[in-house]
Amino acid sequence: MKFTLERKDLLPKLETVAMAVAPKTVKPVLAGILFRVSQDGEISLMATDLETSVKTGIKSKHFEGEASAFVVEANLFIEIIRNLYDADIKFSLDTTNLSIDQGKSHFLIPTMSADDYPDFDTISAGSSFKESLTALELMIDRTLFCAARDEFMRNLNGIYWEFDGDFFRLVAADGFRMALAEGKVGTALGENFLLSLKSMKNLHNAMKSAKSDEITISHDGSRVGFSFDDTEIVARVVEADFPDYRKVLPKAFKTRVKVDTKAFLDALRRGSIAARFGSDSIKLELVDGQIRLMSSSQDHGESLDELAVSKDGDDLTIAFNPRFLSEAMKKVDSEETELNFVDAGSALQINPVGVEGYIYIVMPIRLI
Amino acid sequence: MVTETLQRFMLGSPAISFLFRRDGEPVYNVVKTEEPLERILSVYPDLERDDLIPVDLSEKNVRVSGFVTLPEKFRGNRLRENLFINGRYVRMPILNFAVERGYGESLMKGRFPSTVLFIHVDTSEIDVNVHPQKLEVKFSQNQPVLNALQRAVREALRGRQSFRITIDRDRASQTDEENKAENEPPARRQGPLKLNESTTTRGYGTAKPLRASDFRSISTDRLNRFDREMAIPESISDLTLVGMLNERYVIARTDDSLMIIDQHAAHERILFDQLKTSKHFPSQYLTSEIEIRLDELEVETFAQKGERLEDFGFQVILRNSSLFVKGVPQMIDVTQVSTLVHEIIEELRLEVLEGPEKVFDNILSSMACRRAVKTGDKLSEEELRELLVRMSNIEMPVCPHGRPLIMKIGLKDLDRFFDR
Repeated sequence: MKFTLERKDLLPKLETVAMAVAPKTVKPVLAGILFRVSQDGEISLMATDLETSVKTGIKSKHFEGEASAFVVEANLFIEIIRNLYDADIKFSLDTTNLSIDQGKSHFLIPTMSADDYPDFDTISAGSSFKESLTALELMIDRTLFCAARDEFMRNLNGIYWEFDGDFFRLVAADGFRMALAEGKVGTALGENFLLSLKSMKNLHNAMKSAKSDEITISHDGSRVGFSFDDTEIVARVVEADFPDYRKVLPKAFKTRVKVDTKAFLDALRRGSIAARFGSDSIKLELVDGQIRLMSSSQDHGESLDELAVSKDGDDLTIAFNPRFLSEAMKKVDSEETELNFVDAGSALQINPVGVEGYIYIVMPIRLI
Repeated sequence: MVTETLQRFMLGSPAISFLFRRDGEPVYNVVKTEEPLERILSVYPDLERDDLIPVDLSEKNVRVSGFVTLPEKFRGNRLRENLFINGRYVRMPILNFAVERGYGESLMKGRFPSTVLFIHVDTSEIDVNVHPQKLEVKFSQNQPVLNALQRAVREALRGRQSFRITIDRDRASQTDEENKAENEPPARRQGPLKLNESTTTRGYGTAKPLRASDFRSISTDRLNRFDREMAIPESISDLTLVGMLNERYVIARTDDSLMIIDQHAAHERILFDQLKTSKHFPSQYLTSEIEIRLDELEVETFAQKGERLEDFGFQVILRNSSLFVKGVPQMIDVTQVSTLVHEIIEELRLEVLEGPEKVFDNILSSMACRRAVKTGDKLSEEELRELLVRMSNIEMPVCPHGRPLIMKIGLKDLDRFFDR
């Protein structure tokens, strides 16, 4: 069997599926990408780590021979394709070896049997809805960074999808902070679900190469499917209970300040230089008309910055991990941001001004 | 002490009911049960049914039965490794080691499982009159018992999906017998190194793997002579990053030597030094409280010394037998909170024996250990460089637990090895 593909068509597709390749696996075939070539030269590429599966399609330019399927080791194959020119690449499969040719470059690589590769299970049952891909991408971008990185925290190591009437929300939390983004939905999926951080990252990355703006999201109880263009991603739902995020949302505030987003971020960065090398905490003093941002460390001295703000309510002194504040502030794309405080021991709620649909919660550090 | 002794009796004899009152208040009231598992759950309320794996193995004259915890459910010390020989509680380090070997590398250094293991041996095989409190026995032959114990634990854990055994011990220390046991040709295990029989013939002929013995390796004998004291450098400065080995060791160089650094141990030391100079420990509030179930012994300790947890940056409240954590020391991950709290309470309990200063250090080293990058964590080049820079401030090139964290191989050592 022989087929030809253009490098610039193939490479982005490869990179999309390669993200799902299991990095360390006991089953060698899972370190590979499955190629399924149909009689009419349609090629589907697929990879899975048994939790997330990614499939995408590409049409071959020239095709001769029988329909067939084979698995190539992902890293090796991508390395070869990356190093070729942006031109046609010829592939030819004899029984177990794949030869790759472009001009005077020739590679012969072994393949693995497609029979050992798990099937791609498209979600056919269940409910589904369509969403703007860019809107969803933005929602994921606004929440992903707040998810717990530790895989042992199964219930926080991911993004929670909640459906509520005409809205759906993505929520991520790591025990110290929380991100919430809201979007509109035509038809509710009914059931809420939790997807792992890895699945969400795979999805988020794959979305970057999307050409159309429509994504279909379907859910069959145990799996969630995302499809756009000719790419399909199926992720397994994490069987763990996401904590009740509503309990985390403060009910009433005592102090509210409005800051210029960029100026506050800059002040935060300067004010926390000493913290970065020592205590990992920045103190915010909110008085009428200004915020003072301070950090100090035994060995690295002090940093201090001031920022003019408009303030309602009580004066307050409160401390935070500067990284938690700046990571959230970096995602705010409105010019102004509202910081809502209760007291020095309660959650801070960050609201972008004039933009609906996402908020951040950051827990403070106890002052001593 | 009473609670502890009683716990052992309760674990050792599930078929007996116990009622224990302290100052008139019932502390334990457990009814007899056919199921040893039920008893374990009442003694250690922080464990759940799924955390415990049944162990049962009979070999020749030895039978090992009981329960062990998954490696994720580790403790900071061996106090919960309960071992019983023919029904009597014993405390014999060689048995503990055998149990821990059964876990292989899934159990990191300084982490210990909870176990309730019953070893049954023929009475003719043991002498029970070797210890004044009968906490030790003498076996006619140690090895069969130790092997059975290790295998029993390993077999039990092997069936668990979440458990991955990675055997990656020092090849040089393997005995011939062990080599034979793993029926894999030694060269395979040497890694991807394969050379053609003759380097002059080109082509894709079947490569004949070199055997391990074809290489000159540093034998254990040599390593032992490689004096540890000598290999620990006096000062660490001007380190240049060379690379990484196995996401575990950082390789660095100075002008005239090669330095091999244990990434976890080094980071732990840096954090420990940092914590020691801090006057106070800030506490990061949590979005929601974490509940930690304590056993009776821990409740007792907490009642006496609980406020000390606050000094280290915890914010906790005891309700019934559960500790509710509202705030944690900074940089401690939510997953580590429970382990750390158990460790600190354990340390506080031992304060009478070890003295406050030692206990303070132990707690700081627990915190440093939990915070530090772990063996297997992939560090970016920038992080590695930062680690090297910070290492130059270290005063003692050993980790807080006393293990070395850096090994120096001087040019001279290399020359000696290569017979130059």
